[in-house]
Amino acid sequence: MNVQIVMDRSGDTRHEFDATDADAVVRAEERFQNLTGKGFRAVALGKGGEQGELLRRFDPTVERTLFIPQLQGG
Amino acid sequence: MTSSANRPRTQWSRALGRARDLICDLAPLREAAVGFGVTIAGFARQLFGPSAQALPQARSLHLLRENLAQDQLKTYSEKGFFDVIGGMTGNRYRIARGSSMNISQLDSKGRCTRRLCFFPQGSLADGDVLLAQKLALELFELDALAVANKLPATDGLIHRR
Repeated sequence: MNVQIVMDRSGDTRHEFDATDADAVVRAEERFQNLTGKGFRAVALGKGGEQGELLRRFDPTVERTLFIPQLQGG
Repeated sequence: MTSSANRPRTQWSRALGRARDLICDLAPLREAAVGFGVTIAGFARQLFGPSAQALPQARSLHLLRENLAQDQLKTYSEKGFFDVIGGMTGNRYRIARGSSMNISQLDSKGRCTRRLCFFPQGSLADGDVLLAQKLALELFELDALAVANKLPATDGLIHRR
């Protein structure tokens, strides 16, 4: 199972999907497009704290994708 | 004389009696109001009470710890900060606990050269803010610097190891 993790006020919301299920992948891609369209950054998280990778496009093979809301200055 | 002196007292006791009857009539309404107030108070406690805030904090700190490298996790646990290398510039940053003005840019000797303030929108829990700051500096540093509020170092030595 792959998971999309969206940072929010509850800590995070997780959406698991099976990368071999075509319908689930379509829904995951829609979520990806929807969130990145709103300004979220998508990051493929590394394993065991290894550096992640910024995702410019949806990749169904990424195990853990973290969505970070748009940044603002303080 | 006696009867005129007693008249106000009689009127007063009649008024008191009416007021008592009225209060008795309103008792069910009062109980319902109290019950409603208790319900609202309980709901507010669930929404805004300590346990409601503790859960997002705990979840966000768990996510942060899962995604810190070993050396970052060690200094964060022991000293309350961790260092990050900027993905584009190679600059070193120190991210400390807290959600604002908590990033120091360091020179090669570990001295603070300036302070940065940026965070993700949406009133996120502390762990999420720290993780977003770390990933932003590692993976899209220039975008983070473009929005960051930049301030001079306070003493040049803050958070020094």
